[in-house]
This record gives sequence, C-alpha cells and structure tokens, in this order.
Amino acid sequence: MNALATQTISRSVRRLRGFTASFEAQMESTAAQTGTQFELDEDRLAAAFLDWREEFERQKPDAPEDRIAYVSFAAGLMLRALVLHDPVQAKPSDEADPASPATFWPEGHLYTAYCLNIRNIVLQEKIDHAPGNVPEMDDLRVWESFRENAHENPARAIAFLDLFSGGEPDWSAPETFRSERYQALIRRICDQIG
Amino acid sequence: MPDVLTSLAMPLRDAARLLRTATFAAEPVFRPTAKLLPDAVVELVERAIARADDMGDQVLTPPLPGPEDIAAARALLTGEEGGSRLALTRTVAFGLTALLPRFEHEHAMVSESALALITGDATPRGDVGESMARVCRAIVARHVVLVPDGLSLGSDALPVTFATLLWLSLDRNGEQDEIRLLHLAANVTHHVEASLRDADDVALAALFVRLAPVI
Repeated sequence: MNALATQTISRSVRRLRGFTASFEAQMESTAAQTGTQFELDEDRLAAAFLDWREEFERQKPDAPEDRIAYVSFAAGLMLRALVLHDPVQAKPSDEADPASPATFWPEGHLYTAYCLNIRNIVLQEKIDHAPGNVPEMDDLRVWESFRENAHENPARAIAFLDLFSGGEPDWSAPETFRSERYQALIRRICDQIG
Repeated sequence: MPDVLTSLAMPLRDAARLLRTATFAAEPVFRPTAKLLPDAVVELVERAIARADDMGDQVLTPPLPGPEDIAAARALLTGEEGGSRLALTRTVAFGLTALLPRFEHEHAMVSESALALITGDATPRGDVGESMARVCRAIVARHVVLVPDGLSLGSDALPVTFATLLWLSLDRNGEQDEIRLLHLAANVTHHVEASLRDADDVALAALFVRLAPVI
C-alpha cells in the first residue's frame, strides 16, 4: 500500500511524492483527452512544489472561517508556482483544434486543469461541494490575456484561477490572502463611505 | 576489526569495485600504447579489461535494499528499536551508488568497508537531525566515494550524501518505489544546494528536519 494512499488529497499534495504523482496523473489524463504529448522536467516540478509549499505555509490563516477560502487561494498559489517554473514542455497533436485553449497554451491549460481539479477535490473532501466549470474556461480571448499576463507577472495566475473557478479575482494584489475578517472590515468601510 | 566486516564479503566487493574503477581509468592510458604493441598482446589486455569490467559491474551496484533493511537503517539514525549497522551500510551504499550518475560520477566507487567504519558512530546523540548531520559530515570527510582519477568528489560530495540520507530518513508505510523516492530527495537537494554549502552543523541538521516531512 502506498504511504499516501490513506491520506486525503489535501494532505497528500502537501508532500512532494503526492504532488508529483497527482500531477503526473493529470498529465496522462490531459494527454489522453487532447492528444498532446507532454514532457515533464521533475527537477523543475520539485522547484515549483517547494516554492508553493513555502508560500502555502507562510500565508496559512489561523482562523477556522478562512480555511475554505484558503483552499482556492492555495490552488492559485500552486498555479503561480507552476507558471513560474514551467516544468512541462508540450507538443500538441497535428489534429488539435487551433481555437481550443488546450492547443493555444497547452502547458498553461494543463497547469490550470490540475490546480482546478485539486481545488475541487479538496472542497469536495472538506465541504462536500464540487464546483463546476465556468464559461471563461473555454474562452480563447480570456486565455490570450491569461498567457500574456502570467508571463509578465506569474502572480496574476492566482487571479485567473479565481476567474476560472467562478470567484471574484483580486487583480490588484492577487498574491496576498485576504482573511474573512479583513474583507468584512473593507466592506464596512466601503459601506460607511457610501 | 569491526564485526560488520568480519565476513570479508564487504572488503572483497570493494576490491572488485576498485578493480572496475581502475580498469576504467587504465583504458584511455592503454589505447595510445596499444598501437606500439603486437595484436596478440593488445587482444590479451583488452580481454583482461573486459573481464574486470564484467566482474566489477556485477558488484558495482549494491542491490536494492528491501523494506526491512531500510527500516533497520533508518532506525539506527532515529534511535528507534531494531537499528542495524549492516543495514545502514548497505542502504547508504545503494543510495550513493544510485545517485552518483546524476552528479556525472558514473565511474566512482562507493566503499562499503569505509562506510561500515563510519556507521559504527551512527548511534544517535541528540535529535534525529543532529544524528543525520553527523553521519553526513563523516561520510564526506572519510572519502567513502572514490573516483577513477584518485581525486575526491569535491563539491559534489555533500549534496550526494545529503540526498542519500534525506531519502533514508523519509517516512514509509509499506513498499515504495525507492528509486523514485531517492530521485525526489535529490531534486529537493538540488534546490537547497546553496544553503547546504554554507550550512554549519546546526543548519545542516535543521535542513534534514525541515525537508524530510515535505517529500
């Protein structure tokens, strides 16, 4: 039995072995769906994981009311680390649809699919709720903007993951987690200002 | 002589490895000289080199340790019950040998005998991190790994040893793909190499303690 088999995905992705295994499973699944060939640089994947893990621990909130919101934010941090270290090289198949986001930016599409899936599985584990996809996920114009923005500043990947998961992206400082208490305070101030 | 060496199997395996390493080093030297020698002599020397190669290859790579060996090796470092010096020697020899090609030292040899002498000091004093750091420093200092030109591994000695001990320290539950775990430990080590080189003993111990639960 695998050491991580008895752990929930929210625990197993916090270990490099669980993270690597789940990422490879996503790669295989995406390759089967799209016909794209992926080549993985495990060294870069480890770098992405270590960056993510450090930031995950640094920003982890203490308040129980923040835990669910932090799942989405942590998935965004993961996407940022993957975009930054870019551990995969993709070769789309000759028959791939050029208008599909998976062909336009196969690596980014793979990273996003992985992070959304992990987010959804963790939410399912924690609150028994698996959100569906939003229309932006298939909109090529959104993906053009995503790729350009993410290359300029990988932190914007966090905001795009919020967008793809149906949340409200924070475009100004996406790399900083805002606690429920902080957001409530901001809402109160905005209400007072009118 | 430490009891772990009494079977003589370890020194004999080391001798075969040394022969293999020496023939690898001798081959480039022999090639230019061969032009001056009669064909029959060249053929004889080439056959001798090939046989030494074959024999060395058979013992060059220590066998993959089983879960019991790994548990016993790990226990010696962590201070748990069931620790075994022989298991620690075999397991570390396997880990170092498997990782050396990653550091472009395919033809280096790991001396099990030298390792066995070090593992005598592996009884934990202090916490697990301190114990790992002490064994790590001892392996690097005693030149357990020899390369064909007779020089040491240089700056690669610390990361290859650290990665091996980091792998050994990982928690396990049942059978694992040990080669995969070993390479994950090496990938992580690669990203802390700068901190590793600057680390004193306390920092080295802290790195073991911080990284093992992450892999």
